Amino acid sequence: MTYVRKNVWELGDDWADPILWYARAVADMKTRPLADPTSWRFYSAIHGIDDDLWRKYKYLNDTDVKPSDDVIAEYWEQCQHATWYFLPWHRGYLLTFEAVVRAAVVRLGGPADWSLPYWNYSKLNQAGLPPGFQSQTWPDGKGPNPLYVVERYGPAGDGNVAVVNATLDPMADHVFIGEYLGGTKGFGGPITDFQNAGNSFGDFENQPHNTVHTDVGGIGRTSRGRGLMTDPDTAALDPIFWLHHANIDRLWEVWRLSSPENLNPTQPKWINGPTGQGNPKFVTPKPDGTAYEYHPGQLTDLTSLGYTYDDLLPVAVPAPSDRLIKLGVSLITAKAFEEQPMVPPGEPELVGASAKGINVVGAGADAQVTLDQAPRKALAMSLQNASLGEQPDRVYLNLENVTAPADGAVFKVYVALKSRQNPKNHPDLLAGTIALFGVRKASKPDGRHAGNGVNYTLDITKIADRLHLDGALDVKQLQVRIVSTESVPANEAVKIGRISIYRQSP
Amino acid sequence: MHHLPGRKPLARAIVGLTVVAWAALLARDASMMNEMDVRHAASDLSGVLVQWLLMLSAMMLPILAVPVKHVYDRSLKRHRFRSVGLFVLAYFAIWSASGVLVAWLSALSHSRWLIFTLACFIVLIWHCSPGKQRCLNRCHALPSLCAFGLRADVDALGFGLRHGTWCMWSCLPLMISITLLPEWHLVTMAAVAVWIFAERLELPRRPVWSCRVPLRLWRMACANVPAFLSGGANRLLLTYEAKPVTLP
Repeated sequence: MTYVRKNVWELGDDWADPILWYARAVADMKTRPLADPTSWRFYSAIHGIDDDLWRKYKYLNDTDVKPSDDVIAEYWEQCQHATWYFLPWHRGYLLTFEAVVRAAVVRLGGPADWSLPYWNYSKLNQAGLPPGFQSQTWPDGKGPNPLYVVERYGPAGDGNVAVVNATLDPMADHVFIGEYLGGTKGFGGPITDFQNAGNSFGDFENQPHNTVHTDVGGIGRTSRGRGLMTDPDTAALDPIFWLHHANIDRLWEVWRLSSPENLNPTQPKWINGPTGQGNPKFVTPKPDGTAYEYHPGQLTDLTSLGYTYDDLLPVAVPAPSDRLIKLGVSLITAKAFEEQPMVPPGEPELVGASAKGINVVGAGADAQVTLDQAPRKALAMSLQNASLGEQPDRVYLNLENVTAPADGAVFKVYVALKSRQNPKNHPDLLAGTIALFGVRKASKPDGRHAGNGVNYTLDITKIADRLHLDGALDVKQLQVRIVSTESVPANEAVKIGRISIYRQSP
Repeated sequence: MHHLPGRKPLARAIVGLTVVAWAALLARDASMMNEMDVRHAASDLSGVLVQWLLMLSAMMLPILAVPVKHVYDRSLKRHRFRSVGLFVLAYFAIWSASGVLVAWLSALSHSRWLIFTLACFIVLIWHCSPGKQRCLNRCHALPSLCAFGLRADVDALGFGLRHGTWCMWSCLPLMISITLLPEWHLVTMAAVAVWIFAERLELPRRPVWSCRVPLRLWRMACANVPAFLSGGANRLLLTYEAKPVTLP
């Protein structure tokens, strides 16, 4: 049979059956001991676990018995972030989680066709946290609601949870694989090995995935506590995590179906997963507790996996010809470009960089990016020649080696904003929004990232085009302003190693 | 760990220089016809240093691929090879400094087996220590680098010095023990080179006392070599086929 995942906001009632049964199953899973592979906490630890944080939030205590070291090594801390495995790993994780919940639903007397709802926060009037997750009690007003968690602070840190910083811009990407540094990160992320939180996010992972995590979890305004969703080591403890990832999984399928150019990787290294490189396998527990080993190649066809979504309609994205027309290409030529087979992006080239070491505290920070003459001229020439029928370069802003003592900060990054200009009046100069998710882990010198932090890449092609047309791109320096959505205290200062601009020819 | 997509000239240069270094080592080894030649070479400071640099090139160049790519990617196009050169220069300068110690130990003509045994014991203790793991972790550091002017040069040199220092502390006991080995230099050197490469393939981990065996390279071989040898259509590292599984 084919299970249909439905929009949580369109189930007909705040406590519609799929939500009520989800809550009952979550309550049941939460009663199981930590070492039980189908328990709530075991499943959360597969995504990530930090003993100190779990103890702080009372998800781990002295009476808990952990699984054996071998089981921990095999299952826990697997989540794939900042890697081209991000989407398929989470699909497999979601698939078995849904099966475990369904088994619990059936055992409790619920429907055998139960499926996980998704939260489409990008849809009109659906950005708010679904009501079933806001209520502290069951619908009859009794007992604690297992779908409610205290540690959800929302984007303003006041407990009002809504997704306000997410966009679907990366749905316009046509290339799945990106560069590790400099150029496009691709829809799906850079080529990596098994990467339990890597260093460079794919476009779609950065936005909307990361921003939804931090918008929901947030940072407590007075307590400075982090929401569960704010940190990858606690995120899967929050029941809304799974509805968020169901939507991410849905959007991956929407992306794939929306254009014949949107193809998943065909490299055997992606299809077969990371084990070919001597890395750990992807494995999650099935409802009977046995192992489900999987690799990305198994997970690209929803039909064969036995589930679908009630909405796979394409998301509106700008056509590539829009850009060319703005750069002076005739409509006919621009459309002809679109018909041409897509060429993989070339090697990125550094155009300019800031000085090292930018501290972001308080309301944000400013930085000057010095542009080197030769690549600057080459970029200007490329944009100039677009009107002659040549594919122009794309331009990327990189925030390199971003480190922080805690996750959760959200920054809006502006390019070429003058010092006296109010950012709110210049959305056209907004390069993008970045949310610190996984940066705490990446900042530990003896962690898996060796303290390198995280690199963020924002596509600023649209801004570069506009500056070019205004004659303001061929300059020695460009101003970059980082605006924090909430003030960053000095003891939580975020450090950016360097801000750089790269160009990438088609 | 990331890779070298689209940087074929860099990868070719690293592979090429490694092959040249091994060829030179083989040639030097073949030219030493008898025990006297070996003793003479061991007592000649310049000879020891040349041998030391060749050893370093042969054994360490493959593990420089990631930091070299980092320097290359983060440099202006007109500075790329200059920055990479400065990084490599600083890296080898640090290692060359340790060559003085190696030269002194190599000059010891008595009780070489005893000293070698002692060195092996130190290697074993060091290998299991948190200090060694901390050094290995630091070898994965990829810092920010300035792009312009003198500061770009200073940063490339500084990165090379830091990387070389951590690398040296991580591997020096092992390297010294090879030079003290009275026989079977080249074979041992090749084995140790594979070991060092395997260690570098592992991800950083918490520094604690532990007997660590870098098994990832072995797992890679197990996953790929059989298919490669059976003439699969794809090349090494791309041929692994995961077993089919039953979906839940």
